[in-house]
Amino acid sequence: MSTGILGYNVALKIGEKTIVGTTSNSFDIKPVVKESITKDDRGTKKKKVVSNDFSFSVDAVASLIDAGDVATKLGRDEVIALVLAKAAVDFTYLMDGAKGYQGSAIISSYSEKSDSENEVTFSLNLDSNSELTPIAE
Amino acid sequence: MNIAERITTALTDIVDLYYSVAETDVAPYAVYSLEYSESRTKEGPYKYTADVVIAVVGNNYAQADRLSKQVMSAIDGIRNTDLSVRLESHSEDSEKDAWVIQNRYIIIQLI
Repeated sequence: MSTGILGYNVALKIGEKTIVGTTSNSFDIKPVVKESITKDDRGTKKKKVVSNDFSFSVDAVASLIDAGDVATKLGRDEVIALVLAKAAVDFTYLMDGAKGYQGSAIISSYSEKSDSENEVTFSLNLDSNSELTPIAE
Repeated sequence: MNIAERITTALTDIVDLYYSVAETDVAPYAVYSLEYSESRTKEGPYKYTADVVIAVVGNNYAQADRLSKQVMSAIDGIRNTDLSVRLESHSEDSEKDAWVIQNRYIIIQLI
């Protein structure tokens, strides 16, 4: 028997903080492939996965957090501060009931959108800066 | 206050207001209806979107038009940093001895 997992059970934490207002997360792993060919290969390339790149993205409703929540949550202002800090961040990617992963990443982009009627939203992208390490269950 | 409370508060001193069905035959009066939908983040609901129809019924066109404009102004006035109002459609119709001016709004409230 298998069990599905609803999306709200998935969270990306930066440090120990969750991003408030998250509406969706994505997690991508892209193997880094090295190709080689010698005369013995008779024209057929050989491929080998030498490492894995990974990336995360977060879509969220821009939220302002209360001073009392600063230790555990990231609102819009705190996320921008992280981007401007230019430093790599430690992350934890969690899925209730499943294996989690942790590592280091750089923030590769931040994009904020607002129109005349709806809520302000932003997207955050993180790219790998370490190995992806499973968290012991 | 939720969207319905904001509407009824805004219109209290303008016109007799009923939800869904008019409890009178004596114009002028207004009838409103709401349909809500909810949007969620992973933490829970963060906004309500209401499809709101307000019909103003007057004894004649001038009366219905005057009250409808006051209602429109009042509904526009509930706009706030956490609440947006968009007039979606406007229609005017006559029924027997009454004029009905109906406006449909999309009202979004962040929570």
